[in-house]
Amino acid sequence: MNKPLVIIEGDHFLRSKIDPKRYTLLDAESEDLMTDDLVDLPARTVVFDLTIGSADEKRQLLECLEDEKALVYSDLSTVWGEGFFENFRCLQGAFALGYQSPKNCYEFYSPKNASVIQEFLESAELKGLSVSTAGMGFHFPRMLAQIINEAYFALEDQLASAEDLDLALVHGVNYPKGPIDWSKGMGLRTTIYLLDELYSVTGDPRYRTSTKLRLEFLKSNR
Amino acid sequence: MIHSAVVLGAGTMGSGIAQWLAQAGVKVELADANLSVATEAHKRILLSWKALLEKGKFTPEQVKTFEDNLFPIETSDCKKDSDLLIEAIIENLDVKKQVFHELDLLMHEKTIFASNTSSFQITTLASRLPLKRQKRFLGLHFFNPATLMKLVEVVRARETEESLAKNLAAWFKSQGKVPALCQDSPGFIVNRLARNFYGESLRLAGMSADENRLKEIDTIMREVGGFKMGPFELMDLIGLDINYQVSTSVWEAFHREPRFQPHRLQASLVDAGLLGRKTKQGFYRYE
Repeated sequence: MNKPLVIIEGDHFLRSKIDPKRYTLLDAESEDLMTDDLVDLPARTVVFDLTIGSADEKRQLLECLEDEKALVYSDLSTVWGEGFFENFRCLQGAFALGYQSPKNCYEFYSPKNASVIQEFLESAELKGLSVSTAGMGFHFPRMLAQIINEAYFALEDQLASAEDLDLALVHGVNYPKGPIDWSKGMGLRTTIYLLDELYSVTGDPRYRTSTKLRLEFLKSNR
Repeated sequence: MIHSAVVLGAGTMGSGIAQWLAQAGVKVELADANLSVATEAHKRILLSWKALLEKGKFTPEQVKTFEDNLFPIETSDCKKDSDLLIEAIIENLDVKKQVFHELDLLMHEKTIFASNTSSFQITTLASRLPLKRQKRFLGLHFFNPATLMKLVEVVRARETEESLAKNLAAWFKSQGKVPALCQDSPGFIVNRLARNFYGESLRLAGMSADENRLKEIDTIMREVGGFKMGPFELMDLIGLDINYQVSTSVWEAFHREPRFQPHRLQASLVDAGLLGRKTKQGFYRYE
């Protein structure tokens, strides 16, 4: 049986934890990714997709893997997971690695093949927590995205400095990290992608992204 | 910078602030319109120090110093030239404004006026006072229990002297607190930024209030997010009525901005009198 394929970005925090003896690694930035050659995969190859992308980017990748008849476990922390499961039969499970957990524990959803994800996460020295739905950005990503977004609205309003916003939440309500610090640690694009998806799917203005957040994303490019 | 203080209001927050100030070496008058309320609060603080002494948290000498620093009084008897006055009375705008108006006439012009309010804009509270006093008026928002929680939001109102807020923040820092300087905006920092911890969790739960679903969200936020408590168990502890009142007040103050809109589930539980642990039922049931 061929090794499972792991599609991963170069700066992904799990990159160094993936054992090349157990998994074939493919750079998400690889030119092969969206070509017919890539993926000259034998049918029913297990693919772990660890890319973080916008809904369109994720859809494009999954369409390609669906054509290859792969069995896909995908990071759906920035998209409408429930909708993706309806659209892609290749999806066997999903997880939410895009939002850093201070306890190294990550949500996953796979009603039929939970053990596959559990084993993968354990091989990367992470804990997994099986949840009842992939929802829209699972649970923790969605909550954190909203907390981070409000912190950037507060910066936009010049309510306080970034440092004071972080201090206030850590020492006033015992948050494990300040929201600005948290957002920078994992990259701002995860929050923007998820908020855009929430806004697009629900049409609810509560998910409007802070301009300051978008501006900082343009500056940092991550 | 601060050697003497008056803490107005001997409820939970006022008592906690007074206790912390006494421990920080400040001569504190714990004042209440009703002397017996201040006296009872004083007794509770003495008992708390006794318990902490027995646990070995403080030495007998330290406790003696703390006790010598704290005095229960009736408001009208307060020292008129204290360095700092912190108001922690009932969250009623008219009452607070009236009290500040009366105290402005009594207190020395050097006394810094502060409010521990979480509901009102500091600029509004100071608005009737002379400009000279407004320059020495700011928000000092402590967190419960004030002796343990390190954060103090130092809130600059419209006329507050910048140097006053900065110097006071530096003084708090020198005494082991963590000051966060902020502008005078609804909810200040914490009550604004923390709203989504509750609001988004309610949207994840929907209207069902199914206990298994709520437990799942609480577990995720503890085990994945690293938060000490999940949102539903925390709301039950705080009291759904209090949490809902803060949510509504921030939403109204932001002119009904959708990001702060309270959720129907919370409103319906409050209407039904299911307020959390204090009524033995909120999101969860408590036997």
